[in-house]
Amino acid sequence: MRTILVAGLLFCSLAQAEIPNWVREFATSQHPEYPPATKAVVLLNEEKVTAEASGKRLTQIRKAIKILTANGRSEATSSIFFDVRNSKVREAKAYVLHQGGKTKEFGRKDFSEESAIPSYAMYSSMKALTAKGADSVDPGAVFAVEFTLEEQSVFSQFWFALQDDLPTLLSRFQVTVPAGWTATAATFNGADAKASVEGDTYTWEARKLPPFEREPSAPGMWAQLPRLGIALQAPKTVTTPVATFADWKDVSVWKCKLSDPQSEVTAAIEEKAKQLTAGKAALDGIRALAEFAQSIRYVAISTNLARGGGYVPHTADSVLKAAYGDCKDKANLLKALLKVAGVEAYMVSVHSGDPRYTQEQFPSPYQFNHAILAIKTSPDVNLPASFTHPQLGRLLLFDPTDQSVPFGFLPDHEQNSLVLLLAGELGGVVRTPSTKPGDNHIDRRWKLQLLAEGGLKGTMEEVATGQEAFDNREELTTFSAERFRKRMEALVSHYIPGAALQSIEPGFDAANNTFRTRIVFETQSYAKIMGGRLWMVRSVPMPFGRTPNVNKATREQPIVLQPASLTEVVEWALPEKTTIDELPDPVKLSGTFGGFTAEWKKENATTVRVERALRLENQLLPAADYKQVRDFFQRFYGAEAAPFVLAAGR
Amino acid sequence: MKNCLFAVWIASTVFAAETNWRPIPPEILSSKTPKIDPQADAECLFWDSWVEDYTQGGYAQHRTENYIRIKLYNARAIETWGDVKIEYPSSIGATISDFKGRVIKTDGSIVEVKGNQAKDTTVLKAGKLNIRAKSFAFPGLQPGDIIEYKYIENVSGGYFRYVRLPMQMEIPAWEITRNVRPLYYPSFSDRMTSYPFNIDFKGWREVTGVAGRSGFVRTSVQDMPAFVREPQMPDEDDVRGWILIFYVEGERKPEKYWPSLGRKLNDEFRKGVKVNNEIKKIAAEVAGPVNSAVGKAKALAFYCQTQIRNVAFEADGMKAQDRDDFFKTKLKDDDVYTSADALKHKIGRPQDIRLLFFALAEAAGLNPVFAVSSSTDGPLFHAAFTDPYFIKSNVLVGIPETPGGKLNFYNPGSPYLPAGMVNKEYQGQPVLLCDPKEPKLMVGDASPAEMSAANRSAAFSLSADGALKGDVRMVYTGHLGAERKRIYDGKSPEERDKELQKQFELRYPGAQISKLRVENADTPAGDFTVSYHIEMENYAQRTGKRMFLQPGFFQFADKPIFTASKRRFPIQYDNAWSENDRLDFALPPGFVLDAADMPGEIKLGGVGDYKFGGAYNKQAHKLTITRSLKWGQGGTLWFEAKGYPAVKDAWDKLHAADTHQLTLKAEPIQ
Repeated sequence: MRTILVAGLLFCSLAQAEIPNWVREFATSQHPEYPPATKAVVLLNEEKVTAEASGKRLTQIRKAIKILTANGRSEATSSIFFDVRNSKVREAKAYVLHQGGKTKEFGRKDFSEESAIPSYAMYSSMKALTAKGADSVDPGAVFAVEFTLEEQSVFSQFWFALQDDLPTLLSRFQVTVPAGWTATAATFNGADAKASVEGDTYTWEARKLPPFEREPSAPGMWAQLPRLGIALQAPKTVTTPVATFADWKDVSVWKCKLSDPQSEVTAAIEEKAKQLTAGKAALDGIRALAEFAQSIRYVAISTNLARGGGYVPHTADSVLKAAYGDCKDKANLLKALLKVAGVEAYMVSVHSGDPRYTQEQFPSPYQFNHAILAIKTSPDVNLPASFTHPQLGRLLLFDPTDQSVPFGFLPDHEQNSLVLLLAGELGGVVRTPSTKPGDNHIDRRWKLQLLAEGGLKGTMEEVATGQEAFDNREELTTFSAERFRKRMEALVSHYIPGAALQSIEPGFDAANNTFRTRIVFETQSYAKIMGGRLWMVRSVPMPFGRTPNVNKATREQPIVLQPASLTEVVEWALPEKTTIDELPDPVKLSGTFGGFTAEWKKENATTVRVERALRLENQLLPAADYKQVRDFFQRFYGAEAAPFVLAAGR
Repeated sequence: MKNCLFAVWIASTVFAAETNWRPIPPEILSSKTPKIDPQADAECLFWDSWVEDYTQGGYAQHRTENYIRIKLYNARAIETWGDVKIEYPSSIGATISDFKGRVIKTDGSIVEVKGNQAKDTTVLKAGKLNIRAKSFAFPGLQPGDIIEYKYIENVSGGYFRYVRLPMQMEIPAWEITRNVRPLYYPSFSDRMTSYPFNIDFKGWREVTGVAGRSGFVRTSVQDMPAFVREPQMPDEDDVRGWILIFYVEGERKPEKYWPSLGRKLNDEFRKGVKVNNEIKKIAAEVAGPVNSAVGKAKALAFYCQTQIRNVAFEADGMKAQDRDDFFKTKLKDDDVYTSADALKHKIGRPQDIRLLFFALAEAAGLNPVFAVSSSTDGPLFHAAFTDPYFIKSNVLVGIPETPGGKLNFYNPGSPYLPAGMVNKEYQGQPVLLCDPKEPKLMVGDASPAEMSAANRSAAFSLSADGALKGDVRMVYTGHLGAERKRIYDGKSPEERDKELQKQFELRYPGAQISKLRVENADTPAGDFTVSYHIEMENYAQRTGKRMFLQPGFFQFADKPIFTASKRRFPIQYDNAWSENDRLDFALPPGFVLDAADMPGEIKLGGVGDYKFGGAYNKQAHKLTITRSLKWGQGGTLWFEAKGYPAVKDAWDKLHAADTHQLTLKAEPIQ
């Protein structure tokens, strides 16, 4: 459905527009036949940069998109992001070339300007200037945009995504470097970009990139799509205000210069640290400081981003006073507090979201979007987030921004990930530790009484450890107790129709880092009674849940499995006047990525006991292994849904 | 972050903002438990606002001073309320000024937030629109702290015709007070009035004894619970506490106001009705061969829906170029686009198409009359609320079945509704009949369940391992069809197929869906129809010697609709509907039905009907299932919260019946 955007239509120039030749040229490009629902094809995705040694940059962007389907009209939009303090959009124009030859032009006034504040931030100096052409295009039309951005930057690097999910006919990045400078590119995810050099101008191109659609349980889109990391290098004889990085150590040194001065210990920091650690042994003291930093409210205020503002924490003292800050502010505050306790710590740059995003071949601060801390500990500290660095010794990673993952642990999306340890000359990328299936465990115990009319009452006690426990903790923290109860009620009655919760006792056990839930419930209708004679009883009331979607018969992308394990026991007390007629056969499955067993036992005439156990390793399995994975999980789901059968009469 | 979308605009300077902070009693400073709701994370201790229209330099100005104090009881409250974002429309001259804030710690110590700590940013600037926001974060917060802040919202260059005053928050509020002063200007005779919604309104009383605040009146609410949304609740305006303030000319008595408005609206609408020869010709061609008034009206409505392109929808391949051309060349700002224009150009907006329908009906001698309807999408109609604010734009055309007889309402401006049905949000709602001779209020009909039907059929074969394969066809009529057309009309056939395929694969895990076909997705003519072939392993569950089959294929994987044990707000359904399913299962050789029974009939009072039955053809070894459901009969679409247990119980029973299982036993067929 469409609502009329009269305003949007009136914004645009009424006269036939003069369409630049480059748009007309690319509009005639022939493209291969794509899958039928492909929304649009990018005919040209081009970025040309002229870089000066002073850090001044002029960037010209051209993009032309041909709309292929009705839904594809939403692709007729393009934005440029800029920092209001250090950059200016010199030119912004957009055009529509209809299939029949009619044209339309968007002038600067037709663009919308929005604050590019991420959802988690309170303020950012970044803005987005956007041309929205969705209401002006039909399938077959070409939407084209060109921007010219002038900016003053401290950076000498560039990211260039060769495509997004749309197929792309020509993707091109070009940089003209100052005389004597050089440019190199690191390629990601199989990017096959050919570089050509002409004088001081370097050009990379990729052609005919196919459409992309992420499959369920696959790595993130940007961990799969081809992209380039381009770095400029100045001659050794030249002094330049822009930062250039030959290796990860350079990045570490540069970032340390920005952040180290911010962790100065003031009287207030000293007093707070001493107050928090008084009377505590070494590791307990560290824990107390870490938990304090974790309790600081997350508020992001990002300014001066083009000049590295995104990498400079507010001073530890100011964060302590305000009692709020963003990820780097919180990590930096903890670093300062630890200094008082005589504990060395290092800021760590992380890509939060997809552990497979960061790759080693491009030493750049651009690869990260989050900050945590590595804390030096004694060699005997062995917590799930501990690891040994060849030069710095035993370190413990801690993310003070994640308020549900306790001291000693790392969130699952930061495990087994390349991160940058900021330790000056000793800094560089390291791989974070990964938990084992048993570290992320759910143990469920059901005691159930099947009622005479097919109803059910009973209790479920669950003890979760690791990420499952932390996720539950976050839910309990995020929602009020009443809302948490309602969510649990909805979850339980989703699987046990009509279930009314008589009580629910959730809680995080900080001493053991486990989340315990006990529910007491009753429902009038659970067993399916057929003809008054046969009872079909689903033997496991609720599914495990943390398993991949294997609906599709085939797939092309790798499968990500998270480390997890389950043990579950369901004790069924059966109603009088029924007899056990049929129990499912035992199931035993094993694969390189895990194992599963399930067993249904007749304990006596009125009791059935169901036991099952699942173990899944942290693995990235190639698509070629999908058949094996699918067979495993289809049998797992079959066992999970398996009923036992009772006959009426005893 | 608390995001206060500028519900109330305000302006500066006649008075400076209240500069003094009010004292806080020690028992409130030290209190650790909420007063109104023990589960609350935070409570608003008070929210005072001073709202006024005034003149400055001969121009009307509008401003609101806000003063809010909140007690934070836990860390969750700090996360939610610890920072504030106030959006304001800079493009209409709005500004935020005089911001002040502070934190009062439990020991009484104070941390000030200075105005310059608030960050100002552009939220959206597009054309003439410019929305800005002022954001700030309270420092050093801990559970038990109190935050309070003040700011002034200013709008210069105009008084405000309609201002919404929130009287309920997302947290419990001890007291919310609104002080209002209308515009006083010698030549301005309109009177400011107000209408309260969903509060215990105690009236306005004069504000006395407050320096510099003469001429204000005040109302307040105490101990307001938090507003918490519930699924399937009525429009928020119908359940949340708020007051609308607006200006009227003189006294408005409902018995005189509504007829008067009806005449006025008729005059307004009729400006666009032009009956020329072409309209007469079409009316004769389309309605002439039909005998009854209802038949003529439906034929004309269908003509308007199918022959006049509606720029608000994607029906019949409406293109951006056509729409663009319409706005650029056909519709000129200063011209009235009449019914004759719509017919001549064969294109128009929904309102233009309605005008054309009216003109054609008039030309056909059907005595059409304009009407405006209340809508369930906004506050429900209150006759005492004498203002067109909520109903003016919901225009329908009424046509009597016989001269002076029962009126039926039509809205051909909505292309996908069968002629004679009105939008679901207007069904059963009060309608103001804009009859120039006899304008009056009346209640419109709600369409019966049979007019919005899902008619579904399938023929399957079931194999001995529980796999199912066969062909499915689903036909949707009335509101069910219109709703789907609105969702799918803007998509290409391939995109529709892909989306529907995903939906089916989600409902039927592991199923292979093929030969998917969608018919009539973007045309007013014909019912929205989907057909496909499905092959699904393990549809029926196998045990050692049995197979369990859910014959309710269309309800497979359905979950109970209502899960909460209690409810605060009424339940509102959009429209009545019906479902008619027929399923044929060819059973696998070697299996026979064992202990087969059917859910049969479930009594749903006057609200609906439900039947689930089956027949086994032994010779063909085939099982035929029929299921029918009607809900919302007699226009019963609204259930008070106290009726929730009964509604939940009914739907739980329907769910149990829909997911009923049949047993097939592995035995040789006799």
